[in-house]
Amino acid sequence: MAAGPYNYSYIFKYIIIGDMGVGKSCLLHQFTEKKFMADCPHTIGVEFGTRIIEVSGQKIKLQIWDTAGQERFRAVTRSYYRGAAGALMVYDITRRSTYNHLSSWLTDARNLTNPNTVIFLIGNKSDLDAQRDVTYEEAKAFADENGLTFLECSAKTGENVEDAFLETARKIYQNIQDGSLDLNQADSGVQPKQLPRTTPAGGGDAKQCNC
Amino acid sequence: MKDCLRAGGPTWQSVENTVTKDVVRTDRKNPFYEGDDNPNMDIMKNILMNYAVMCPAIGYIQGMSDLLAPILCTIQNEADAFWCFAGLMQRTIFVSSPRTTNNMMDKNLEYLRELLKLLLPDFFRHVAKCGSDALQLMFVHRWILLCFKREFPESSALHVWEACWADYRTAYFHLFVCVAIVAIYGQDVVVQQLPHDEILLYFSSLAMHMDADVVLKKARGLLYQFCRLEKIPCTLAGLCQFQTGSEQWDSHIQPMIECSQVHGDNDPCPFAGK
Repeated sequence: MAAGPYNYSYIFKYIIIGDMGVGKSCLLHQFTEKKFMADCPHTIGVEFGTRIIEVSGQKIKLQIWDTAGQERFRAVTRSYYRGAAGALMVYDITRRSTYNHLSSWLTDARNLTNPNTVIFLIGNKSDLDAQRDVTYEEAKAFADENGLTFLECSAKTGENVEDAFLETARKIYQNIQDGSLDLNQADSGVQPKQLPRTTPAGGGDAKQCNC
Repeated sequence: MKDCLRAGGPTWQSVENTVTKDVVRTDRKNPFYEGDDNPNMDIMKNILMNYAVMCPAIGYIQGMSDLLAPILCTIQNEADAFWCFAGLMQRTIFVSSPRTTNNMMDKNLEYLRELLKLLLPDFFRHVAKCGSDALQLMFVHRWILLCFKREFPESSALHVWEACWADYRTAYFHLFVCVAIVAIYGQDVVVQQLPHDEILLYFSSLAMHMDADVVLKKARGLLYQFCRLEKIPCTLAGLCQFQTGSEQWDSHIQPMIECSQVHGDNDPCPFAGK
């Protein structure tokens, strides 16, 4: 029973953001399936993966949301960011333009998530060192300036992929332990398992009409 | 070419990069597009770039390559496929402005919520209980954007496309297809009281495992059921044309439209008090 797949203490919601083609879906696939997905089609709408991990002896279910790099529909974007405990912000080390857009992704992440959301910077495609367009040092400096944790990863070889996802979870768990993340806050992105959240039927958007 | 693109919008170079990135990951398992240096990928790219030049305000949007691929593969001629694709775009939500509150995606989702409420009330109640994010119905976004192209094997998907394009009684037949999928495959969602994330996971795992014939039959049945209702809520008044004529189902009376008191806009409801 202790090892059962549904036995976990918390659910953490993660989102993966970044320009199109940086490898968001491949990172997710590598983390959840431990496989590289060659010929991975571009994401349309929202895709989704889960995996149960362990941090300090506690089982945690990661609920990872992956969306299109070019998301055009605002309603989706808002629900997507809302209540994320962790945000993995990805660029491609072989394409400088994807790095140059990080500040805009970071602005979105800061504006649309709660202040305690852990943002982790990933430089993907580290296996393509010969085509490198952004140095490790430059990205590290950007991460330090903005208070982000940073790793270069490869969704293809799997290098550092586990570390990026697990390190983010450790930081979130630490925030819970030291009380800086308030679990009673609706958009904390963390749900203790036995606490079903209910909202009134009909949702928040329906308004009465004036007739 | 640069003049074609709006100041402040994406540069020509970035449109080309985006198109290039997506073309190489569209339908590569289809023999028509498989293999390195396949010339049909260049044709697909040309068509998408030409479309972006012709309609600079739209440019290229992810998902367009998915819609173009079967057209080009069927027609096998660049010029004809271009015009066919341009025509198809006119009836997709890609051409509507996504940044305004009144975009086509929102409109489709509003209709779909109302349809589910009417035709599958148990399912709707469960989703509503899961919260307002669940009511965004994210599991249907790809269904609607690509008209089910990634949900069925290609020959079945094209069958679904044609059923939608026929515009029989409604320009929103695709929403009846959505309701049909939920009706046929979604009962476990309610029975097992799945939470929001698992609803998403549940429906995405159905991709390529559904029977298009069964789904289409059910969708047609739901449309029939809808058209036979004695009264429908005002929120669905625009969904179907109820004109009488020589159509097959014109023997019944027009449904009464009733104000449901819960629509989003603040204009006075034309159906109030009727």
